[in-house]
Amino acid sequence: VSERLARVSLSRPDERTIVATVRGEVDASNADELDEVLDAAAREARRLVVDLTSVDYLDSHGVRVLQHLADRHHAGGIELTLVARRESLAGDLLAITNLAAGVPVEEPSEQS
Amino acid sequence: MARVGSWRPGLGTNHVVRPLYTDDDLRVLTETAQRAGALLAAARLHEDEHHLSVRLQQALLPSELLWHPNLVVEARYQVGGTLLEAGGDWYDTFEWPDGRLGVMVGDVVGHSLESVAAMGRLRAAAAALATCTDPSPAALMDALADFARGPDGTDYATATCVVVDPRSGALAWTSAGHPPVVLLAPGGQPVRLKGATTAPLVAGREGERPEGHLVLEPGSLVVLYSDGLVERRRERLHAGLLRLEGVMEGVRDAPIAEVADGLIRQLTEGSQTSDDIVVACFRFTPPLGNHRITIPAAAEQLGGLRRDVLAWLGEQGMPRPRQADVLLGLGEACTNAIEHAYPQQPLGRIDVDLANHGHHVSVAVHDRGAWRPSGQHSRFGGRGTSIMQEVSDRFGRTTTAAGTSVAMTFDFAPRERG
Repeated sequence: VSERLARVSLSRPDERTIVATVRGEVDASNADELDEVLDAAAREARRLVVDLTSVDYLDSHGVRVLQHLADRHHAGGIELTLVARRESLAGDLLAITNLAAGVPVEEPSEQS
Repeated sequence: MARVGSWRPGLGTNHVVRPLYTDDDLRVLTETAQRAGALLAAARLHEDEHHLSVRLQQALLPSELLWHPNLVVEARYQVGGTLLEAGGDWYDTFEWPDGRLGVMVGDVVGHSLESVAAMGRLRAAAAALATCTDPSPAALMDALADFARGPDGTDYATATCVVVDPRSGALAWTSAGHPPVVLLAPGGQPVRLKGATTAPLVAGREGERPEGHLVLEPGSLVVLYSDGLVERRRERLHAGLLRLEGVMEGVRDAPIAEVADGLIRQLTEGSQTSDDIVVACFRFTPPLGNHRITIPAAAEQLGGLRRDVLAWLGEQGMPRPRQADVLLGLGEACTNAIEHAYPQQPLGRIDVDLANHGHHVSVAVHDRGAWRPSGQHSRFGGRGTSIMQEVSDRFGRTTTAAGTSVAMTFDFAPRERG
């Protein structure tokens, strides 16, 4: 029985936007689950904000999930925005894997 | 120096004392212009040759250096500051089946395409000869000297070689007319490795080639270099060696890459360097502490592994951003093992070896599986590899019939972020 490494909470600040806040760790054990949750969210709203501010660990499997969303963003299916601190593991990984190219990455606002 | 354009004999002159040129003037001017044109064309040829030398030189140096977690080697080549000064210096690393590592630095005298080409022959010969000589610097140097005297050799070259056992720190050295290797033990004074020096490579051979032996103290820094690093015009070599030793003492605790950069920067600062320079340096860093973890090859194990490793890294005093780098590199290596080595085998195991080497942490991940060709079964294996290369300071992977090992090092010092 493995503890849940990551949790995703979804909110809908307006009709066209879903904010998915990912907390915890994303690796090969749970990336597929995250993929399903974010994929479903992306089908329900025009704009998807994925907040990675509270992600403690993310690896190439997590990047793969984000890449799926980025592909849909580039194809015009959704408007994707990622939220990550530049000086964080997630922010670093977005830069290393070049995922940030072409997808807007925002610094988290002060209160988050 | 600005590049010289193609020259056409012409009358670009400011000599305007007389309004008109006589036939004599024109003849002299034309002749002068033609001579100048020929000289400039020759200069341009020289400069083209210089650029070619530099490119050839860089192409002939090794594209990567061998390393061991206990012996991390860095090397640099810097072209001479002035025209026509490229060529002839080289460095290389070797590995013997018993695990010993060799580091060689050499210098073919001369600054021309010919000396660069001779350097390339000698370097390639040394690398090939190392595979069939004993792990002894004298044996390798003897073989290289024989080669250098032959038809593919050169007129005059110097070289020095050290062979180190990365487990024990046992070091052997020999020099063929090359300036001395300098050793700096922690808390000690710089020591020049002498007593095993012969004439340059192609000079006459007399008896058995000498070899010096010592055992490195943990943390010792060893620097090999070419004379361009220490020689100045109108100065004795001794003064340059003292300067080198002073700089070594200043960078003794720096990460090894910074040692290499610092030696070149500080020793060439403010001086008109005319010669090209190579530096090859390493530090003997046996582990101060080890940690071995074995996990079943399953993705569900990765979270627990990270907690275990994080606790150990904290105990070692590794800075937080580097802890994150280690976790990420380790995670990618383990994930690759799970997916590539044991795709259908729930009973596979992964061994993780962590060691604190004082200046860096080494991470080794071993599996006993048979890897499938990358790209066929995972679209993202390539991404994992590029992440490992990016977050670590050194990365290597070996696959044999027995399985695959990935090795990485992570300096305690922060990584430069792109």
